Amino acid sequence: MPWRGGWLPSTFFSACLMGLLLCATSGMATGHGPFALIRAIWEGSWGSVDAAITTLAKMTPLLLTGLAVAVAWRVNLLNIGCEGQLTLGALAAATFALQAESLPSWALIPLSAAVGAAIGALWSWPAVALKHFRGTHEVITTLILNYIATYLAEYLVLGPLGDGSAMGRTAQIPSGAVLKPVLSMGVPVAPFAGVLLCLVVQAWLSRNVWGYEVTVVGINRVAAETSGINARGWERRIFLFSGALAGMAGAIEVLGVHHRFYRAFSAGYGFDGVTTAFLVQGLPGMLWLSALLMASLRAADKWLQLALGVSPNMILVIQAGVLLAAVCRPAAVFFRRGRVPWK
Amino acid sequence: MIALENVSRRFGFLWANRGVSIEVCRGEIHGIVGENGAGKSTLLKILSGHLQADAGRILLDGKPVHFRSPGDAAQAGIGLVHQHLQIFPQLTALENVVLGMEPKAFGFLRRKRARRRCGELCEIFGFSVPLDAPAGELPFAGRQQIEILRSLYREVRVLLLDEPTSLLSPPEINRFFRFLVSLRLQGRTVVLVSHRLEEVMEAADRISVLRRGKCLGTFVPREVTVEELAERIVAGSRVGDEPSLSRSGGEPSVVDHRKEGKPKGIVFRMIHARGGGSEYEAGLNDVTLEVGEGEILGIGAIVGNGERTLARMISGMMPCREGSIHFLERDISSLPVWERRELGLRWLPANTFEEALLPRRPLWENLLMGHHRPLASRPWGWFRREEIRAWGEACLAMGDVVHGGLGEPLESLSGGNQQKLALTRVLAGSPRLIVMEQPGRGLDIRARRNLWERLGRMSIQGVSFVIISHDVEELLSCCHRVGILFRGRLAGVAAAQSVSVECIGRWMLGLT
Amino acid sequence: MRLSGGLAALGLVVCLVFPGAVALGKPLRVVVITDAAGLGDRGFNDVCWRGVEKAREELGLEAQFLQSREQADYVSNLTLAAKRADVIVTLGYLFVDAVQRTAPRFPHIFFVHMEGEISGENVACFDFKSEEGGFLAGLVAGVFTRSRKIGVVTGMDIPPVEAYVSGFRAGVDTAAVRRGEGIEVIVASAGSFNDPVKGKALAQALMGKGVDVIFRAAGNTGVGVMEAVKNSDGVYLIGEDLDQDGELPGKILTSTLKRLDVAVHGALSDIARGSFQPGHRWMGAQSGAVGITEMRYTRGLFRPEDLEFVAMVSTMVARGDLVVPRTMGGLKTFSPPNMP
Repeated sequence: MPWRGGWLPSTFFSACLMGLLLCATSGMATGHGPFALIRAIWEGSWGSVDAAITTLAKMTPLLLTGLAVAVAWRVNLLNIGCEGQLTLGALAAATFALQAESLPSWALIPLSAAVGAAIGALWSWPAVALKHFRGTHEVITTLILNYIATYLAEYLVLGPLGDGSAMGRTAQIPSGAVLKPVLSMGVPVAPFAGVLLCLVVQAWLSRNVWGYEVTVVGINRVAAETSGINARGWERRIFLFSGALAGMAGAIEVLGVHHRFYRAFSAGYGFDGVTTAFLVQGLPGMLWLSALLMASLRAADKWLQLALGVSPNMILVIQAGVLLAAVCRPAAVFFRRGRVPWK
Repeated sequence: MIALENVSRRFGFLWANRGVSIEVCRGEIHGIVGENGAGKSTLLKILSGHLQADAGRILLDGKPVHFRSPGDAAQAGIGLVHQHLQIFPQLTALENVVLGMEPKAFGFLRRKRARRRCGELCEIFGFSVPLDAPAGELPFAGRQQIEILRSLYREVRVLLLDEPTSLLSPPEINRFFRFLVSLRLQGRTVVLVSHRLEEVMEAADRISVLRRGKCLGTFVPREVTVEELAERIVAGSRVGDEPSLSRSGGEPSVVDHRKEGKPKGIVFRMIHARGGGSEYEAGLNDVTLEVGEGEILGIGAIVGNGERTLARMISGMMPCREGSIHFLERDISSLPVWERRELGLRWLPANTFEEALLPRRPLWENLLMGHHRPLASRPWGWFRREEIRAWGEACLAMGDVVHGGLGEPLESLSGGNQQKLALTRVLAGSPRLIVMEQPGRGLDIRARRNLWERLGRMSIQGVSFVIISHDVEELLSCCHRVGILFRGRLAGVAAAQSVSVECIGRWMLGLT
Repeated sequence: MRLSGGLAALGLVVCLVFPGAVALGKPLRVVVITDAAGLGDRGFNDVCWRGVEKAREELGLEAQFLQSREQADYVSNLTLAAKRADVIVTLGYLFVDAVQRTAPRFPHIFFVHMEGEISGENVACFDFKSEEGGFLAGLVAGVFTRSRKIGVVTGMDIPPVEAYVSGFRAGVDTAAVRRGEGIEVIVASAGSFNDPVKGKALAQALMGKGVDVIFRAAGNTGVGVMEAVKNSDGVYLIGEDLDQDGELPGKILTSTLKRLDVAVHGALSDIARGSFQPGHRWMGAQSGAVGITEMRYTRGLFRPEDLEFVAMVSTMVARGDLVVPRTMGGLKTFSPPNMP
């Protein structure tokens, strides 16, 4: 068969293993026993309907920013700028929803999301343009653009786009623009749409001629160009798409969760997107796994405090450990041995 | 000294080695010959610890050894020089040589000591490597010397060489064989894998023949003729009408089309082109050349005389600093690579493994590059799987590529078959002009003949070729016209039938 | 087997739906929810927690605190807490929206909120006339300063902070009128209540401009300000929200007092006694909830007549004779009282 089946990224499992190990040791160190932390994380993220809904809601931005990083990585570009793209996307979506409140809901929601995506893409453009015309590394430019975006948003929301209070926030968006959970019991629909989007992107990358061109550009740029593929064009398009995804993540946060923009908006979703993507080696089809893990950790911190009295910063430690394990890939070597005969 | 007993190794459904038993004596140059995919490289990789045998054992000085990694083998004094060189292009030559065995003091590289030792080695073996140059900028011969030095630096007793001469020019090959003899004089052992039978016959003390993963025996060159050896290598196929690729063997049948009239029109024109070049390789200096429709133009050069620059400039990888390039009545000097490709101009790089292929991806993805768009449905571009499979199978059959399925990764193919895949890919479809660098690299005699026959057929249909090779004899016997590059200048161009070998030789050395 | 399983499931559902049901006859359970700064800010959050601890000792409560990682978590944290507690205490202006949205969903739970106005039958919220504390602090700073330059480091520019700053400025102006010479006030905002590093940098920048008194109104960010003051001679700090004088004895002129602990303790006692009073209340100098410390380490640094002056103005504020502006707009129309 010309097509090989999908494989489970061993990185992810080694990361999970590391996470469990960290939980167990820190649980023992704090005198709660090795399984208390693990159980608390589980209960905090999936232990009740409410918790599960919270966890699911946290998946959406992680899925989108994770996908943003993953697709850019497909053409060997590292988009560290999701944070800024997300922030400006959110602000743009909130502003648009406030300006166009007379529109019917079915038009207002998608249009607001689209505006957020467009601004996100716009904010990623300087990075790729500078790379192509001046050879600047995109990690540096996107990082700097993050700062500009944060303070630009702060300025705008304290001034012309704010609600007039000194809080640094916009007014609440009209109820027509609120993205309501459609499934019963308040289960949000956005994360499922996000997973679907990831799967579509995966299928596009592996079964579509344009996705194939992107893959080839990422693996061997010279070979791609000699095969008549416009490598530069794809890099630009994919990077803009990546920015649009991050902007969309911000827009959905506004429409679905906060219903307004306020300063210091992102809470680190942009950078967690990098973690999410690299936990599964940037495979879009597997992002749901890592987003699930990251969202569970994020959602569990309150339960950790209430049930065990453990500081929520413990979650940050675990997250860092998980990422470290993913980057080291100790188990990747272990799983590989003897399976791939050529080398 | 080294004995292989019933060594077997399998990749998927293909047996790369099957019950191979070979004995190599101390201080000999042992040749290993065979067709593409006969299992020569695999054997070397097993010997050097890069691969592990599925069955059988290796005896070193009579004791069974088990190499789990190249490090183990190096410890036992065995080093391999790969067909695809393993060089870090950013590091300097010196750093590449000492990598992994750096003389250190408190964690710092003792550069002076490393340099002294490398200098000694260079002197003993007559190498001339600029030790401080970035390895990536050296010509192939230089990079190969780095890799050989790396093994020598580690005091190997047994040096395994995989196709060492495939990218070397004739004078370099002579120098290389002198180097082998000096190794033997020092009492070291050499295992040499090569397609070029004459060379192996000349250099080796004994020769083992592999066919489809099996060893057919070991011979002493004095006791067999080239023809007998060739027969064993390809056994079963028609050996009688094997075309001699040397000029002395008479007019080969494959290039008969050369008599069929003059080229009809000019397809490609390069006018006063300048550009490229580095400290270690000549750039182009005022080169003007034309290629007619259906013409095969051969460009010969000693390594480093601008042949790589020429190919890169035609393909668009390298900008043309002065002058202009015209293709199909159009100035393409400023077009990017991919637009030139869309006009029908194709390029086969010298180092296909690195520059044209995706080693870890499946065969079908490798094969599809450049032909992918017509095989997708419109307007959304989803791949039509069955069509791709049929097309891929046909394409691989046409290129005579031995493979274990379209879904297997490219790495599972032997070096020769990888080259065949790259060739059949660049020839498929409807190109107008193909620039090929070292198209015969890693190919055995039969594959080489098939290639030239195919080029001949295509040129009759109006496809033009620019073929860049170090093997000038081959160019003379198969091309319409042959030009020689010397230090970035076109020393001369002449019809292949009328030019004398002496004349070509003078051009190559820069005499007029 | 199946029956018992079913009963267990039913029990679980009951517990989930009627969290109050299982609490009958048990001690009152209190959950305190803070913003990302959490406990240990040696300011706002810590003061409130002190009130809760006092109530815990006196009334035998069960108390827990919950630190929120991001604003998106406020509602879900409130929801989660509402299922485990009888009383929820929220600290800080940023919670207003979230409590407003959550409180109606849990009518059996009592909400106690500090800073900000929220309507609802089950919500008691307290606002403090921070400006009065700020005013007295400004007075102290104004009579003390030798360089006639005073710095303020704020967290976010939210209304309670604005009240602090405008009150502080009014106090400085009053002192300036008395001294008969102008005093400059430089305000620097960190943009966050939880960024000590930035707080330190801002404080050092202010010192570079020749400031010799710094007022911290920045939550956890102020920890960095204190750090900066600790390492430099001739610069003094004014603490906020609770008595911080003892942390750097002699270097902290005074601290504003916002007796959040009194308010929290009072509200919790009311609930325990069954006499919960919903609604919004202003707490100020008149009720003794706002003021400044006794300056037990730094009295020696002042001239006696200055101390008398400060004490006199304090009583005026406590009596309600002097109205301190709460906003920047109010500050513009504020005219310092002319005193002998």
